[in-house]
Amino acid sequence: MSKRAVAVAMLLSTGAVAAVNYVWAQPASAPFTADQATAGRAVYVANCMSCHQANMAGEGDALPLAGRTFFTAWQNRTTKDLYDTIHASMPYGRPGSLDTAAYTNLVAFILQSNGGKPGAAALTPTTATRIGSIATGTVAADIQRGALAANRPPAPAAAAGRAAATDYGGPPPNADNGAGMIRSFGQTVVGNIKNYVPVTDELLTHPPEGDWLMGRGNYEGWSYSPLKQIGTDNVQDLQLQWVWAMNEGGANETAPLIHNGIMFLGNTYNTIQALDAKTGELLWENRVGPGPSRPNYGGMRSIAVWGDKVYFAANNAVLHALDARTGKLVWSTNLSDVPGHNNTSGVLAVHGKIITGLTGCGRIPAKDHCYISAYDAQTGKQVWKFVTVALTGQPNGDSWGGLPDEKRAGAETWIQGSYDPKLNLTYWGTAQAKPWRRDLRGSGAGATNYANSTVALDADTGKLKWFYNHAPGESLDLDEVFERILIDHGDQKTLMTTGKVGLLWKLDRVTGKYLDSRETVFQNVLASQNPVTGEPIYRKKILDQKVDQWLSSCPGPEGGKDWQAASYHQPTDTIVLPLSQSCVMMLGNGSQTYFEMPGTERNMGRLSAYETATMKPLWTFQQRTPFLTGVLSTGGNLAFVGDYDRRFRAVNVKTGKTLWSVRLGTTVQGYPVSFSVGGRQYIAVTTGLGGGSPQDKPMTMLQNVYRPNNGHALYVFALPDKR
Amino acid sequence: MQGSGRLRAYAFLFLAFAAASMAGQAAPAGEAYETVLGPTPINHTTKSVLTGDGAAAAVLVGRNLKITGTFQGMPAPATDAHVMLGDGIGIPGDPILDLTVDPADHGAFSGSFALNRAQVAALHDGRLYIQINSSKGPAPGGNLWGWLLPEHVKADQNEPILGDWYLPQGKGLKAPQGGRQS
Repeated sequence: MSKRAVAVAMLLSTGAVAAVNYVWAQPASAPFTADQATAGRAVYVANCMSCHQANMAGEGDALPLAGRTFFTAWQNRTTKDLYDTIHASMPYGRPGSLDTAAYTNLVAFILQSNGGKPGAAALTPTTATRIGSIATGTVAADIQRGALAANRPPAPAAAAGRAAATDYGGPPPNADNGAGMIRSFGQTVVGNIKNYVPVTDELLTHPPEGDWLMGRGNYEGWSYSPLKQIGTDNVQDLQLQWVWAMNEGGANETAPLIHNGIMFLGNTYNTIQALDAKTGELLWENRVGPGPSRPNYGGMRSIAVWGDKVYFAANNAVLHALDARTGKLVWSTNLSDVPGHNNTSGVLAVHGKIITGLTGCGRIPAKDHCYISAYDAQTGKQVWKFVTVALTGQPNGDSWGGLPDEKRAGAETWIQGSYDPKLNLTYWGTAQAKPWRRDLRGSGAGATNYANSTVALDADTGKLKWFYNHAPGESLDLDEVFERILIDHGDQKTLMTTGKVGLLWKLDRVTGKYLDSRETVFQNVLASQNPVTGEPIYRKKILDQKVDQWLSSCPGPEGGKDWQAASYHQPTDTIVLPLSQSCVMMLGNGSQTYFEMPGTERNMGRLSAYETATMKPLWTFQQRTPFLTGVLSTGGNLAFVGDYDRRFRAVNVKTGKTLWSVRLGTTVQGYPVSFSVGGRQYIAVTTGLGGGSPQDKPMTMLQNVYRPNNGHALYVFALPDKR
Repeated sequence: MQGSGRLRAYAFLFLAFAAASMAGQAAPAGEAYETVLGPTPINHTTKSVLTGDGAAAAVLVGRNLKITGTFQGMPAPATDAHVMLGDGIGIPGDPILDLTVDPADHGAFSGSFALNRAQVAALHDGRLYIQINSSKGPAPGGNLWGWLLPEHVKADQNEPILGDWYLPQGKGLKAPQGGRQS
């Protein structure tokens, strides 16, 4: 069997394998009717357009459904293959949920959009006509112009911010799959929190032990609580105290904040709620909105408190300030007016400024580029902005292989940064350049700064102090955007981060100099690494990738490490990493098939601990399903983490031994936190769907693991109250 | 089969293979390899078709490689099985040796081979893997596969490994002989 045979087999594996009678039809006898295509157009608008775009060109993981790339991938496959693939995988997050006619009509519309001419014969699910014989890949002019956008359903009323003319239009059409969906926006419950204490810079710099004042708990990004009431000797007695059902729909990856007994919860649908952290009583709710732009997307990963306000960046890239006592909207500021731009990083409050990221900057031509920006916390006025793409004529602007600026896309910032108060530097990770395949991008061997980099910015001015590119010229959709953890070893100030390749990086955070790195999972992406500079060298076949070739990548886009944040347990100098183990076969057009990582005994989840001073491995264990929460470590020498298979557990941070676990309603996803009220320690964690590749890829690969497709909730645990 | 139960089953398989391969003869002073077989690449469409799992143990004595293994849960009878050679761990390639396999959806497979020098080197580099094809899989693309890697201690969720642990790539990226895959 030749490599070509293997490649053909891979191609076949992406389609149906049942025997069919192939009909090599001529263009004059296209097997769909005009009525089917018209009906399919409506199906597309309602179910597909939010991801695959109004011009059907796709974006990110949503592949093109019209044009040259689509046609190249599908011309030698059949209409039945296309029907089966769409039926098995779409709509995103609820495959197979449309009726047969809807799927058939959708295929007819896609064929027509690629130059297919309708005929007299109706398309059926079993019609197996070679697509290259009835379509041309030439996209109709009106589709190219995005004419489908005119069919977008009207937006429901939402709070101040971007107009409905942008990509955001409220709840996704057909988002009616159960209770918990938000159908109206605005403030539903007005609060009157009399004991609210304004949050000062001092509190943020030195958080009280019982508070959790920012996404990762402290400016250094430790995800660590010094509370020790719950420890290795009593954690087995943990009990559920209260549970709060959250909005269904969207992606739930939130981190609640707790200040002085009040919990501020970033719910989906860009809803903020204040709860009594001890009892779970609702104190106020503001459904600011809008709803998710696409199904299972738009996690609000962090919110902020400063002074007497709660801040959050809605997914449609609008920054809002709410009165912390009442929940009333104080001000709103557009982060961007560019269609497609959105926000999932959340926000960080630093010295009266709200710093946030931006994502969705992958479209070409790029009307604007991604940036990190800061806003006056009192007024919402922009204070500074750092563009994460080095442009022509700017320092490092020659790292894009001479591409015009309108073709320099990506470098999104979709994870909250960290902050060093003494250096007054804020550290953010950036995502890869777009398109992420370097041959499609056209940037040659250019490093594409400041994509996939750590950037250190002056928190007052946004000026770049230094940057370090972790993946120069990246080509496999492997982000290095995740949390930056700041750790001191004596006088040495370091920054640690781990990207999708799975390298645990250590940098000098004063200078940006490379200090060390360590592989945490199997990887075959990098062939070597410069021991002095840390520069990774890609496997040659990755650099030579061609559009019609399948390429293996371990890890795949699930990432060895993804948005689920690591925790730094300061008392033992231990970093605990939630890791994932899967690989991908990737075709140049973006088609992907997944397989289990070699040497893992079919285990997709791995939790590993390293001593940060020495990078020495301390302990590890594997399990079938991946971890879908960040890790929370505590002064009680525990590390809490949740997984795809609904299990939330506590392990001994010194040994990795599981000491307590419980199964929750659905996938445990988000960022667990710990806080105290009235001298009692609590552990809070969310369950959630969405979550991008770390949840999508396992959903495909875990053939015999089932979990409910609903169940967003917040769970709060504590030891029994013996008083 | 879930979690530690599944791992215990794989461990049992390894022990059974090792015992079987050594039955009736003195224990060979060889290098031990192993793999757990899982589905060849799947997507939303094929995940319900490409099912099953398995395990294999292999012993290399000199240049003689002996492989024994079992599989189960395939969607259709096995048609053929091979030792395959790729460019690196996790990088698929071509068949180089034929294994004997039970023509059923579960059963055993085996083979004994005298490897050439290049094949021994490939085994040491982790570039050999086992692939079982079935009549319902997208043959010749396979149904189950798994890379032959050195026998190693498994990190079970109930028994974490303390200290250093096994990763298939072996020596680190910054090793002087870096550049492990072409």
